[in-house]
Amino acid sequence: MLSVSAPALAAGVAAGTLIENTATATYTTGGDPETVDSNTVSILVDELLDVEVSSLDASAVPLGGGNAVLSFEVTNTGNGPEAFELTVDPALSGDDFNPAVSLVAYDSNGNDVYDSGVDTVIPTGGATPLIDADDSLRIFVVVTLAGSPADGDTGDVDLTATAATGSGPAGTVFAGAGDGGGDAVTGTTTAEDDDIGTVIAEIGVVSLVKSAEISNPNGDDEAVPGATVTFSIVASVSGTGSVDDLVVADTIPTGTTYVASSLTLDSASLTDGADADEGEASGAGIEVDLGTVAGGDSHTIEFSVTID
Amino acid sequence: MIFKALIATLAAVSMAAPGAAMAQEKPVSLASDVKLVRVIPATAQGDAAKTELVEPASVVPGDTLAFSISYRNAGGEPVTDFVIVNPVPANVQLSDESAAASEVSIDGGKNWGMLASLTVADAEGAERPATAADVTHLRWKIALLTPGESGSAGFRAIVR
Repeated sequence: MLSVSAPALAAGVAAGTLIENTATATYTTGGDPETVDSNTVSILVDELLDVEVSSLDASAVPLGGGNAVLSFEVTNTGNGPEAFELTVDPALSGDDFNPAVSLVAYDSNGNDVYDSGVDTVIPTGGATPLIDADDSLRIFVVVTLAGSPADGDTGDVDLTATAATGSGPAGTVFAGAGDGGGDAVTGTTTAEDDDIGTVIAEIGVVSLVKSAEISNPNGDDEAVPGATVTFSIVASVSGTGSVDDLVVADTIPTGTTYVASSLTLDSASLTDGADADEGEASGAGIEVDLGTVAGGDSHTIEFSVTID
Repeated sequence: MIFKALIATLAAVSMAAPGAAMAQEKPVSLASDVKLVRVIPATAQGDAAKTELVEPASVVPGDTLAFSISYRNAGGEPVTDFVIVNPVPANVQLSDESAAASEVSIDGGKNWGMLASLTVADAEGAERPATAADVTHLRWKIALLTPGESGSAGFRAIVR
């Protein structure tokens, strides 16, 4: 039963409120003034079930090798405390890839940012705690990469909130289920709403380019025994993402011998030992741990061998 | 507005009762009622949207309520200077139509007039026209109720 003739007035009168009306009449009869009161009619305001969901992210949230946190706001636009069941759908069409949903949590400490291990996780199919009328709760959807998106690909994630009491076309009545002792009635939002947040894949792509330069006692570049070969490996990361734990390793070619202490990173010497610096080298090979390398950065590793 | 047509009925009137006893029995009865204004949307067949009054089974903010006050002179004497005063209930806002249709007060019943003639002073002393939201009381005046005469007044208000 739809009986709305005015735009919604904020959250409105709280569910359970009584609206009462009494009229009074005065008159004169037989020369005497009289007063009479009417009976009092009383109407219990039922619970209006309405909800709005909105994405709080101004633009697509970068998603690299770790997590991305999508932020949503669920607002109870009804007139009584209500819990809302949450459903997350990352498998939408019209985007480039489907992120994997790690968890859904609400901002239980109220600081507007996701705190892993602190903010309360809402299990799949679970509901928010009660949200007061006109109040909002911030919801975090934590996602990771899935599939093999290219750098810059986007993935959409939909969050739907549904009133725990029930949903349906405006005017659907859940008898006796309302806060405050009355019915619960769905409003214009059908007691269900959703919004979409978007992540953008930030993928770092590693390329390695190796070159060699030969010098020998004859002063030319012939690869004769005794000649020194200096290998140069340029490790470059392209794309908007970064690469973590990037380790570049190479073996000493058969028939050559590593020149002790010749290993350098970006022209700075590294010791051969497995110690605090980034590199180590032996007769078998070299290994340099570049750690996290941001997109657009490159590093040059050099080492020398002599031809046996 | 739901000023129903005045219905004159011939009531069995006890003429034996003296005036004082009549006064104690309150010759005029006043009955308050409320209905929900249900909107019936326009149909594909071309019927325009209309409203009907139904028992208020479920009422939520934004709904329109139709309050009515029925009166009847059940006594044997004429009643004069009959005035119904109805404070606007809490938690509702008077409809614009109802606010304009009868005498209203915006100051708790001290001063009265048609809404269009009333103004509200703001904090700076400037005056603005009063609106339906300012109305605190409604009033209906009927100069004479003959014995057996009945009728009703009413107003519509939106649940805040």
